[in-house]
Parts: sequence; structure tokens; C-alpha cells
Amino acid sequence: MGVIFPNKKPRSAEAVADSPGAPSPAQPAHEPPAPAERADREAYALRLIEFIRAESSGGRLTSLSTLASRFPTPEELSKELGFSIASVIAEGPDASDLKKMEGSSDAWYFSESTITGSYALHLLRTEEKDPLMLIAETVRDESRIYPRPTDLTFFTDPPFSMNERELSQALERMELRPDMSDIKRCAASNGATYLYSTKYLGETLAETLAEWIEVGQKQNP
Amino acid sequence: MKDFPEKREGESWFEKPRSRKDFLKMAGGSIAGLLVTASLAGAGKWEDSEAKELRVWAIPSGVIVQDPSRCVGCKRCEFGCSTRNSGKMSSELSRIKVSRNLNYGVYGVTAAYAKADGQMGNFRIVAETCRQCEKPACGNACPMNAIYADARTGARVVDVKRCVGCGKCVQACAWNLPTVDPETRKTSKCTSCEGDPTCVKLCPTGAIRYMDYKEAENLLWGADANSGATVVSGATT
Amino acid sequence: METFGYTGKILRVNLSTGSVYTDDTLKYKEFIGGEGMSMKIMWDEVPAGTHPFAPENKIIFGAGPLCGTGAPCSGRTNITSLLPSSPFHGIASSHMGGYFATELKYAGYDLIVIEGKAASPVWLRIEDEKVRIEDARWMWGKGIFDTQAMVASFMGKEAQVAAIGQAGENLVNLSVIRTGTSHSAGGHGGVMGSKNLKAIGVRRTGSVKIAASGKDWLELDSYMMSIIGANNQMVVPSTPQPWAEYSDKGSRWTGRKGLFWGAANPPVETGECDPHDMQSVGLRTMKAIFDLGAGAEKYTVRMGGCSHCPIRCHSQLKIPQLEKYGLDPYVANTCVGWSGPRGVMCYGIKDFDGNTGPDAGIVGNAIGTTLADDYGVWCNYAQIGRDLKYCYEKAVFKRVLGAEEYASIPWNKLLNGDATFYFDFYERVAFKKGEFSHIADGSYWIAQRWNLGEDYWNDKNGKLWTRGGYPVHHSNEAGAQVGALISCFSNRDSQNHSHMNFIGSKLPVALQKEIAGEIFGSPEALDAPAVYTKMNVYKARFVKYSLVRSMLHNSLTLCNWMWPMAVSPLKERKYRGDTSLESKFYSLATGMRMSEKELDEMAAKCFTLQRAYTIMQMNTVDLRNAHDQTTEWPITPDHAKDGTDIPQFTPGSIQMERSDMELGRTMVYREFGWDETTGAPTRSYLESVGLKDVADRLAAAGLLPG
Repeated sequence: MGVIFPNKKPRSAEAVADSPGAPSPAQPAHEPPAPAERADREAYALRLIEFIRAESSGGRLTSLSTLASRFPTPEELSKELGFSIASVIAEGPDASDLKKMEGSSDAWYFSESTITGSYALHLLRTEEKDPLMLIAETVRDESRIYPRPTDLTFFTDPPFSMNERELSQALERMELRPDMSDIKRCAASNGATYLYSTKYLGETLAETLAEWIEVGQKQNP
Repeated sequence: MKDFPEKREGESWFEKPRSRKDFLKMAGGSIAGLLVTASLAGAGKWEDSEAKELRVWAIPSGVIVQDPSRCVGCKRCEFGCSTRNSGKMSSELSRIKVSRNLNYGVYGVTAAYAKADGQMGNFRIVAETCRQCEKPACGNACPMNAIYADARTGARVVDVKRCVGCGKCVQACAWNLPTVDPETRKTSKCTSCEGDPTCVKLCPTGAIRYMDYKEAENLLWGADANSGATVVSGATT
Repeated sequence: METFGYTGKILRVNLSTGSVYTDDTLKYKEFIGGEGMSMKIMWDEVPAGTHPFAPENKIIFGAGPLCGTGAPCSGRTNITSLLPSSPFHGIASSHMGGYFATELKYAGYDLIVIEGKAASPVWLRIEDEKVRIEDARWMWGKGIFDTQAMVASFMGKEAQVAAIGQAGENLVNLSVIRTGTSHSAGGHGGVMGSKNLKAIGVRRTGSVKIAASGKDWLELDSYMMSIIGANNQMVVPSTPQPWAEYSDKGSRWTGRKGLFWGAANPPVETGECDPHDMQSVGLRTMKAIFDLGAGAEKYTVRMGGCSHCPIRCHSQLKIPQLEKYGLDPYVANTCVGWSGPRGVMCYGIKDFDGNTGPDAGIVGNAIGTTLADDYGVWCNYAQIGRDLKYCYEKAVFKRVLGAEEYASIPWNKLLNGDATFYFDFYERVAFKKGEFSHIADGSYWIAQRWNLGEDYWNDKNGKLWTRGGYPVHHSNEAGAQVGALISCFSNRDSQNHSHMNFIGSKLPVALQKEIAGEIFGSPEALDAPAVYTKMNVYKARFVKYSLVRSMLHNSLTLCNWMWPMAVSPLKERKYRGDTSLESKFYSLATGMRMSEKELDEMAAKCFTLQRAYTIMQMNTVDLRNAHDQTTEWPITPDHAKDGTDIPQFTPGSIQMERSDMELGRTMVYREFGWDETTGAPTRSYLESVGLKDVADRLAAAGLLPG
């Protein structure tokens, strides 16, 4: 007997305001293209935008380099003064839901209609392939926003999905980084290890919260 | 298949006069060479070899199917159905029947209830939904011809002005799905909510679907069927 | 005359005389329904000093005007009576979910009031207007599951049944009334047993009418469904999700890709559960892994719950290993329905082969839950396990049990984590075998009987909140003084989640404080976890809101484990909910237009009536000192590792402080309009809400303040 109703993946098509994603840098000014060229430009932009949206629906970011390799720029467009894929998207058909985040060596797009800025930031930090920064920045965010310490398993679960060895190596190396001296460990009585940032949480509070999350909550269902 | 005479121009297949064009529009997509290709000599009826009157029914475009693996027994389907269609809340009047099988399954209480279908056993909840049968026993049993096929959806619906609440439709249905409202003395049955079923929209786990009739046939009738009626009809689940 | 929301009929049954008649619900409409109306009936008809097991006591099964209308989360049954485990047999309510209350409404009744005592075991058979008292001799002695099946075999498979097990029959204080597969109302089982009433079966063909059009009603339902979150109105997923700004590992919104109802056929993936997807609301709360750990995924057939609730917080499991223990493999429950029995195995659980680990815990736990649910034993909100541990470790059992009885108890099983201990434990308790069985008398009575000293009450690990013998239940760990004070006002464990359904939303604290400011007047109403501040008037307002809403929900009836909707999962609403939804549903259902404030005031009046009854029962007006005090441990500072005190209101401490709590009580009394010294309702307040007769009766007994 097969599955009658496989799980759907519905996504909200509503645009949502106020993404906390990194702002894109100002685009260089240049002359608007002639009408015939504009149609080609728009068609190209639409392909890029639709791809970004489709990827976003699947919970994925799209990098500029991916766009460049999957959608080679038409020759006429690439000859334009000040041309860039980023500008094509920015000036393309209404794409107010698209947000761009600058990574260290690439830029990343997502649609705010299907991914929140917070989730996109998790994905960006994963893409950067710098596990120390990923851990430190995430822990600082959690200690600031909620505020709460962060369980180590947060990093081995999706969307980070680090493996145990990767994680423990990163933690060891972090201890040697002066710029990460605010990241400390604490433990709950069941052995679970948590990280917190001293910029936002004190030791006693971090320990109390870790104990509450791991043990207290279960004892007070 | 019997050799039926050609349908005359302007003749209708049903009690309510319909144009040939309407009929084809309604039935064409799902027929696939089945059933009603014949013409009639009268107002939608003819006699078979046993001199019994038969009516001709268009195939509905869709039918509601419930998936017991996803049903959580919340009864929002029953609430939505009876609210929209009867203007009051009642499990009894709901056209999708969950309550009747909720605790002890289709077969009811047995000594082995702890492992049988139902909340009190293996947690399997089988709802019974109107099959919008190709040859609806309810409609064919109605002495007032109060049940007819909706022009747009083909769902077998009740004309309450004609209905006298005799309950023959309830008895005729193999699953006793129509219900006579004791307050109005009119019967009620699933209309598919004009092709946009309320039960489907209100189900919080997506356990109810409005499916193309042909697609649903196997689920409701065939060896792969999941729903309760098929258990009644003897097919295995 | 057509009634809307209400059926208009109260079913009254006198088991002594066999008389069955109906009364008019609407004469009590200013008490809303359910618990409110029950309080009024008890006030009018059951004198203080009545014993819970006396025929003169009444037990009232209450539905409210929203029950049966299909409003989201409106399937609860309220049960009000005198409570056997309370030191003064305090008036109290228990609640069970399932489908009983909606069936009662469709059968044509808003409440059932049962009094008297049958000469021999009976069950009550309700089929619309046909109500009979039937012979229960063949049911008496049976467990709750078989009892329900027997009733259904008489009445038809659609019948919904409320029943007691052997524990209720034997007048065990800690016993339940149960319905369906997993829904328990704790504490009143013995009351039914004392009346020789084994079960109530309801079969219905009727309907509930609403004043509004079906279209308007469905629109309001749709609006509420857009705001609803997961269990306990947690509005943040437990894992990062693309649609979510926030996540919290402690959230009950556990649905995600790769998490399945593993024993469904075929397995059902819970999936991403975007809050805009109305067809995944019931997949958000995969409670089995929340209650029992990751190992429970493979046992989960589905989630279940109550009538007309889309949330489904009861885990329905198939555990094949149970058959090794001679039990059926299907078991269901939620929350303390699992952890209560688990607490009885206070040294852990090993599996059949002696292994520990998550699966061992699940299988063993399921044995306890199954037995408790069949015998109908209550856990006193998991207190029974703590009392067991205390009495074992402090050698109380050694002292109070005879040598022979002590030796007959399989202590080695308890110590070694052998879950077959449950078979012995629950049988002793349900059948009142030996002195040991008094462990199920309730903490106050145990302390009396076995001379447990002050260290019993003041043991922090014991978690007893008041001298009434009830434990922590979202108390000081839940919003500082807010939870702490809420827990002081009931005659049992507080059973109040009004505050939890906001405090526990899992939104960042800053955002919650903003919302608290909008609801209660200042962000100071809500403290950050473990960063507690002194008492203030906004917290007092939060306390009153919580007490009032709990009474309101138990009167309407709505599920207080979901309502009120203070928050929502929607970023576009800035996570705001709508606390006026109760009044919107009430107005549309009944046609009696009521604002949020007006409905809250009606509920406050019902709560005050409960207070007045408690005064009569305790025969003192000084509830502040006689009733509303905590034990010592909640108001004692913690100690640092070096033994010094950690002062209260230091970050990291969740302890309360004595004078601060007294101030809190004063502020709450003031919010209610009660006397600020004693916490008793004043004549002027009572008269202002139309309870002059209550004031007069209290005055005649010398129990009005001032």
C-alpha cells in the first residue's frame, strides 16, 4: 500500500518586511540600456530571479558564482558598461523579496518570502566554511537575542550538520583565538555542554539556563 | 454494453433538462469510454430487461478520500461540514463520518478491541466518505427523485424541496452515509461543497483530499484501498 | 425555545432515589458554563463540611457554550466536586479531554449533576433525552478500558464513556475519572466510586446551534487557525526552519523534515510545518519525542487528542515489547500521563534484558502508564513518585509498615529499575492493599498518618508547594512571582497554563516583554528566565489574568493548555496573538455580545465564588494565612558552593522571598477587589457582581472580612 498523500511542501508566497540580512553595497550608476536590449536584460534577470526563488523554496541560498556558471551572461549584455549579474538582478523585474548577503568571497541570495533573514544567516555562516566563526557568531547571537547559552548539538544538527570531529577541533582552536575569548563553556548536570558569550551572559546565569533547558524543563512538564 | 438508441437532439439525460453540450462538458473528462454513452428515449430513464426503471448518472469530477494513516480524529471535518452545510454543529449530520468509527473502527466493539481499528485499539481511524457512486443507490432508491447530479461537479446532491425524509436513501446506501436531519426531516448527503470541500480545508494533517474520480477509484474500491468502505466491501487493507 | 451555544438543559440525576430530570441551564448563564456554573450549584446545594464520599456531595460534569461548536480546542470536560485528597476536602475541579463533553452537548445537555448514592453498582446511560440508570454489577471490578468497551457494546460503537477503575471503586483518594484512550481527570474517581457509579455513557443524535451564520463562524475559525501555534501555544519551532526567525530546543513545535510518526502505515513525515500551511497544524507537535525522547519516534502511530482540537498533543504509540509483559502494545498519553508513572520508578528503568537507555525508559514507562490508566490511579501531578522515594529513603515505610508487609514489597525491583515493580505497586494502590497503599491518600494525609515532619514539607526535591499537599505546577520557575502566586490560589495543583501559554512561547525575552507590556501595562510584568525582579502591580495583573482565564476556559470549555492566544507564530503580525478571541467566539456562538473585559469579569466572579466556598469550608476568613501560603523551600535562598546564601533576585536564582510574596498576595487581592488583609471577598465586591446572597451567607457565618 503506497503513500496516498505524500507530504506537501507549501511555502508562503507572501513577501515579508524587514529582513535582518546584510545590505547589498550600492550599485554603480550607469546609463539605462536601449529598449530592445532591455527586453533581453529583463528576460535574463527573470531567469536568475526565478532560480533564486526556486532554490529558496528548497531552503537553499544561491551564490553569485553559481548564477554566473549556470546562467552564462549573453554576450551583448556582458559588453555593457558596468555590467554585473548583481546589477541585473537589482534592476530586474520586481524582486523586492530577494535579499543579498555578502560573504567573504562570494555573495548569496535568498527570497524573503520563503527564508527568513535569521535562517539565511545560519546558511551563510555554513557556506563560509569557517566553523570557528560560525560557532562564535551563532553563540553570540543566541546569548544576545534570546538570551540563552547554546547546546553543542545545535551545530551537529541541521542546518549546520557539523560532524563531531569537526566540532571538537573547532572548539579547541577557538580557545587559542583572542578574538573569541568571550566564548565560554558550561555544563548541565546531565553532562550536556553549552557555550555562551560573556559579552551578553554571566557565568551563573548561563549555567542556570543550561540546567533549566536540559533538566529543569523536563522536571516541570 | 446494451445497444442503446441514438439520443435525439435536445433530449436531456436527467430529470432536470440539460443541453447535450452541458452533459458532455460535465462527463467528458472522466468518462474514458465508460458507462453513459447512450441516448435515451425519455426523460433520463429507461427500462431494463426486468422492467425496473434505471436512471443515468454523469460521473462526478471529484470525490473525497480520507487517509487513515494521517487522520488524528480531531473531527474538524465533521464540524466544518455540518456548520457549512446544515448551519449547526453535529457529528451525526456531518457528511464525512469519523465519529462512527472513531473508538472501535468500522466493525465496532469486539472482544479483541485492544488490537482492532479505532482509538481504543490500534489508533487507526477510518472515516467514511461519500463515493459519489457511478450508480448511486441513494439516488436510485429515492421515490421522489430528490437526489440528482450537480451540473458542475456531478456530485449527487439533494433537492430539499422534493425530499420527504423517508430515509430510503440511507437504507439503500451500502455505508448508510446519507443522514436524515431529525429537526428538518430532510436528508443530507455530501455535495463536495461545490467542488471545494470544507473538510479538506479544515483537516489539520492533510488527511482528506478531493481527488479526481478515476484516480480515487482504486483508493475507494480496489485492492489498494485504504478507506473504510472498502473494508466493508470485503477488500483487504 | 432555541438556544445558541448552550443546549439549555442540565441533566440532574439522584442515584439514591433514581430520579432523573432536567433543569434550565440559562438560569445560571451569568456563571458562563462548565466550572463557573458548577461552582454556583455546589455553593447553593452542597453545604461546607460535607464529606467528598457522602451521598450529599455532588459531582458535576460540565461542558460550556463553546463545547461542541467546533471552536478550536473546545473539547474538554470540567468535573467539579469536593476533593478527597485535600486537607479540608476543598472544592476543586479536574478536567479530562477526549470527546465526552461534545457528545454530552450533542445529546442535549450542558451539565450533568449527580448526587446521592446508588444501592448497588450502576452506570448512567444517556441517549439523547432517554436517560437510564443501569445495573453495573458485571462492570464493577473491571478496569477502565474494558468498562468502556462494555458500555459501547451496549450503547453502540459511537458511545463516549467516562469511567472509573478499581481505584475509584475502592475510594482511593488519588484516583481518576477517565475517558477514551488516554484522557484523565485527576482526583475525583473516588467520588464516583462512593456513589456506586461506575460509568457514564453518552450517545447522541443532536446538534449544537450557534447564533452566528455558518459562514461567519468558519471565518472566525479560520482567523484563529492562522494565529494558533503548537502545544502550549509555543510559536517557535524546536529546530531552525527556513520560515522561522527563531528556534528553541525546548519547544513543542517539534515537526521537521526527517521526523516521522514512525509506526504509522505508511510512516507520516511531520515536515517543515510552515505556520501558513493549515494542513500541517496537526503535525507541528510531535509530542512523543518531547515527552519520551528520540527513541519514541519509531513507536509513534499518530498524535491524538480532544474533540475539535487541531493540535493533537497525545502521543499514540505501538510498543510491541509490551506484549512480553502481558499487556497490549497500544498505549497513549501526554505529559504527566507519562512522567507521573515514570516518577514512581524513582531509581530509573531498565529493560527486559537489564539495559538502560532511552528505549528501556520508554517501554518501562509505558507499563506504568497503561496500568495507571486502567486501574484509574492519579499521580497528584507526579507527586506520588516523590512521596514514594521520600518514604523509602527516610525509612518511613520501615517504620509504618509491619515487617511482613515490608518484606512482601519487591523493593529490589524498584532499586534495580525493573519495571515489573509497577504491577505490584498499582495493584496495591488500586485495591487498597495494606498500609503501603496509603501512599495514594495524598501528601497531606500521608504526612498526617505517618507523622512526616517539617523536613518533608520543606524538602526542595519534594516540590510540595503548599500545605494543601500539592506540588509545583508552573510555579516559581514560571515567570517568577506570577507562577508562584497562581499556585497558591487553588485547592489542588494549580492546573493553570494561562501564563505558560505566553511565558513558554519561546520567543526572545525582549519581544515577550514588549507583548507583556501591551497586555498588562508594562514589560515588567514578565521577568526573563532566572533574572527575577521584585513584585510589581503588572505581575499582579498577569496573575489575575491567568486565574481568571483558567476559570473562563474551564467554563466555556476551552483547553487551558492552548488558550489564551497571547502570541502567534506570524512574523507579519509581529508575533502578536489576540486575547479577545474567547469573547469573540462566545459572542458569535451564544448571540450574547460580550467584550473581552466583560467576559473576564464574569469569570472573575466565578473564581470569587470558588474563593467564598473555600472560606466556608476552611471556616476562616483569613485565607492569606490559612490557604495562600507556600511551604518554606520556595522562599528560602539557595546556597552557593561555599555554603553562603545566594540572595533572591540575583541572576541565576529562581527563589522567592517571603515579604515579597506577601506583597504579591496583597496586590493580587487588590486586583480582584478582595479584602487586602485576608484575601477574602468583601461585601462591596460581592454585591457589585450580583452575589449579594453569597455576602449574606458569609456574613451569617461570620466569614466576611472587616
